[in-house]
Amino acid sequence: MEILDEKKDVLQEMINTGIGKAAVSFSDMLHKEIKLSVPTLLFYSLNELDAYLGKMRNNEYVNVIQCFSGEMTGRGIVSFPLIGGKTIISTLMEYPDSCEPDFGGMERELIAEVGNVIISAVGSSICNMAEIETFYQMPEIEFSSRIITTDSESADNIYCVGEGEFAVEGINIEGKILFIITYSEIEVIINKLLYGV
Amino acid sequence: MKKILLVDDSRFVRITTKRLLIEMGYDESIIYEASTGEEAISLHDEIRPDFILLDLLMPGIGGEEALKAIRAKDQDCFISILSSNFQKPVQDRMLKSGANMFVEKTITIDKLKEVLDRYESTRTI
Repeated sequence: MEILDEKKDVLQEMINTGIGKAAVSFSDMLHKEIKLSVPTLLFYSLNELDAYLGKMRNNEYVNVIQCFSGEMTGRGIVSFPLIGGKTIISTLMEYPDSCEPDFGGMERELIAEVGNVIISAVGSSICNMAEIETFYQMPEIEFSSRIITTDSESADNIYCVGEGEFAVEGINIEGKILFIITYSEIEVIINKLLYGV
Repeated sequence: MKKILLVDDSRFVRITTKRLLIEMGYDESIIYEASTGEEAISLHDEIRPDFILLDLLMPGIGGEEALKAIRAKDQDCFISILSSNFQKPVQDRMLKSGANMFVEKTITIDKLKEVLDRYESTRTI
């Protein structure tokens, strides 16, 4: 499937703005600067998406996943190395350095809130640019099992994946924000923005 | 201010907001917490807060329904939404449903001051 460059440009701008906005929210939360890579835009079939996400199934990572539906359907994923997730918790909760928090109820809730703030910020920025509305489900946490289930998805779907890498200055944490949208829906929105149809 | 109600399913958000309020000089004894929309409605009936900071995405009925239910019973309480879902239609709908203000998460002391200033300005006339 060929996607016109001008459509890719619009999508890239949406993803850049969304991830930029999410970084501001995350920075406000941690009181630290967030360094962002330039987000990349990828287009995958269902099988390719499954394989791409498969690479992220790793015992060393904690992933927050939040689905959304409405005029734009998809899911956002925020992925931290396990040790980075723990450092984020320590920083937010102001645990002493010597204290090694585990992922108990409070910590899971906290990481879910971090993910929710980041994913909702990306999604809300995109929706505001596109003048549409989506509805969010509660965020979920996965440590090592399958990140998302694609079994119920249509094999014909094309997925647009916005991927941004971030680093938190001063506490040596790196992570990833993925924003996965069904392309056919976002294309309708882009057409409206670009051509008014 | 007599009573403040913080509504968020995240303990972290409640703890942080409470800490900021205390730093700003508010007494801990006037700050109440709820973690669901249902709990917010029931606690509102019980304590009749003057000011509510309300999250939207929570398990159960969520903030939007809680807002409508509380506003139907209490026209005077100042209600500010605090949410990371800051889509324009969502903000518009909340304001139409009776919210006095919409604040984007993450909460900071500056944002909290702004909300409380707005609250105070509605009380001085």
